[in-house]
Amino acid sequence: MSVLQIDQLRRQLREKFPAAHRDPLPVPGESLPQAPLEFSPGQLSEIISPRQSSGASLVISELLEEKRDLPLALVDGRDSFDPASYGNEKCRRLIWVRCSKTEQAIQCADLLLGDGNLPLILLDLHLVSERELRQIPAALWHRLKIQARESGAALVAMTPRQIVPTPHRRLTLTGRFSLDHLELKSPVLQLHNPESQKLAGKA
Amino acid sequence: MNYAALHFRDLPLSCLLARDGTPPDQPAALLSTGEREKSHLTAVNLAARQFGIHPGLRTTRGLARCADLLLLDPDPTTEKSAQAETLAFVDSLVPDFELTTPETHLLDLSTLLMASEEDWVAQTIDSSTYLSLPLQIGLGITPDLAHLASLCPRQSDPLSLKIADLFLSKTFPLPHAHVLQLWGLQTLSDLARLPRQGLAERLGSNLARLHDIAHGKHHRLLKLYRAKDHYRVTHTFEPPVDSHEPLLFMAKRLLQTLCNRLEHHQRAAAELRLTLAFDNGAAHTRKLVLSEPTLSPDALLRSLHTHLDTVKAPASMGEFHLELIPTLPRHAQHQLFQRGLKDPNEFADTLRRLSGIVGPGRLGIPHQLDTHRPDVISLSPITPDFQTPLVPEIHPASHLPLKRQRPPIPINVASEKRGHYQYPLALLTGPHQGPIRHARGPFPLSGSWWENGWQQAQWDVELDDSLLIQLAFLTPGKWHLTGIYA
Repeated sequence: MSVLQIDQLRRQLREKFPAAHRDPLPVPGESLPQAPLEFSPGQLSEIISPRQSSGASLVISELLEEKRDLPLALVDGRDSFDPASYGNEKCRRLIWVRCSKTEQAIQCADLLLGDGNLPLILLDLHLVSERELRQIPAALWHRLKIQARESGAALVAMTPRQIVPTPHRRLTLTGRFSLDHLELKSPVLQLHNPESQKLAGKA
Repeated sequence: MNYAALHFRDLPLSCLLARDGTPPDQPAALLSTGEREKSHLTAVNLAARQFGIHPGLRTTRGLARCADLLLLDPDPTTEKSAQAETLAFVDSLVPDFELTTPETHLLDLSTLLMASEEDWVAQTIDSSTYLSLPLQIGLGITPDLAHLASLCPRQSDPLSLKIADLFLSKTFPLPHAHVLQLWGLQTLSDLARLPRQGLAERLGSNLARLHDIAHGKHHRLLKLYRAKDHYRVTHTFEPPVDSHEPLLFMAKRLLQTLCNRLEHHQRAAAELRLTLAFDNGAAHTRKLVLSEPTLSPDALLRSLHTHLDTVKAPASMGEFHLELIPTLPRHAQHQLFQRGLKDPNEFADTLRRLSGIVGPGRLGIPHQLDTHRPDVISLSPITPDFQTPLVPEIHPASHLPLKRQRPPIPINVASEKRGHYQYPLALLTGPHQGPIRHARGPFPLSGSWWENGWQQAQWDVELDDSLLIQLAFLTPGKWHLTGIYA
């Protein structure tokens, strides 16, 4: 089959099934279905933040607002969490692990998963550099996945791009904010689940 | 038989005879303190009893009955040492026992697994030979019957005990002993045959109680003995060791022993105290407080292992001590609709490990301090119940939280002066360069003017692709990238 034929076939498929071929990254101004912020116990999920100001902190804020019996563990890969932005009341439901290196963060997440006492662990690699992200071997994610399954704790990795192989759930942050959102408007967390959209398109 | 009594006969005297190596057939007696002429005998051995010598007899009379009688003065030091040895011996036999008198120990045999009572008695007598003290063992269905049996030589029936001997032993209240002897009662079995009610009416309730004891109707509880340093063990390495693996190997076994002792006493470990003694004379002492009382040697060993990973030995280790501080085990009724920690001790151990990875002061529950200075925070230590003091809100939380750059990145910013402040126009260096589309500010902040004062002007700026960052302008003319509104 020639290259031209393949291109033609792809175009026909794209025209026939536009939802299945939609770019997971949102088109500006287009409204996308909102995905709920729920994570299954014993599973590894990934939240991708393709742009730096797309609402990754709002995820932490939302999770801290939820009433839970045990606190949320935040493994902060770049030591970037700002308690003043959240308020003391919310921070009472948080265990903050301040890491200075990605390697430390992975180690801490591994320990907390192995311990299995806390139900939800947030591994924040949002501001980690591309070079450091590339140094995380894929086998390590498999190890974390197995640890999560054995301990029953949910691990949520917040990353700037797709790096976790086969997560249970992958969400993409699609928020776009302006200076008005800092004071005047209330920013709303915008999460998009490409998998569910693909499924919806197929259906 | 549920109870055994170990009676070290005439302990104050026999310990002196054992110390001097005196043969058992030598008649010997212990003198009372005070003037020798007015003294009397406080204890006599079996060889002396054959000459009709008994405790309470005047020394001169004793010598008159046996000229070869060896008279010894009491030695409190030797006696105390012998009592400690007998106590340690009994403690090695059973977990629960009562120190009835310094000479007699009542043992609860219900927790022991034994082939037969005869074997156990023979084995116990055999294992006590190193003490070189005369030991009489009595068994009984009640503690008092076992005690009475132990007072009889050669493990005979407790009811065969002579009333005169029982009176001299002073272990049971025996009023009107002379009346009983006048009635012709020689042994305890003679007393047991009398009607209880008549005995109580004529001679009082104490004899009625002895009557009940003889019939096995009186069953009292043991007053269990608990040593103060019962949960402490010491191990000496010969030769000294350089790594902590041998220590962990030994500690695993010793912690199991200590936990068994705690379990027998219905206690749990609240903390673990470790002392390492090094060859250069240095010592390392550490108190490891457990988040929840435990009886698990594995949980204790895990805490110990985590701590030992952080210890740098200045020299080879010659000795170590382990001590468990007992407390009542925790019996908590868990909430039906509330989830708690599965294993608080493991969690505490995990926190210690995390702290070891990230360093001290970098793990905890954050809260903001009462200041306007940016990024001044405090971390509360994590408790098992996650309770932290309620700190009032200092500043309102921002709508879009900030991700801080720690430490702030110094950058070059193209700016122009408008009034008192520099207005940013474009970021020239740093990770995010480009023209500024919109800016909010300045927000001047200052404080601590009474000491080393600080001041800065904050700006929130929007770059291309809706990137929101926070800048700080510090005099003189320095710009910092302090965070990203993520």
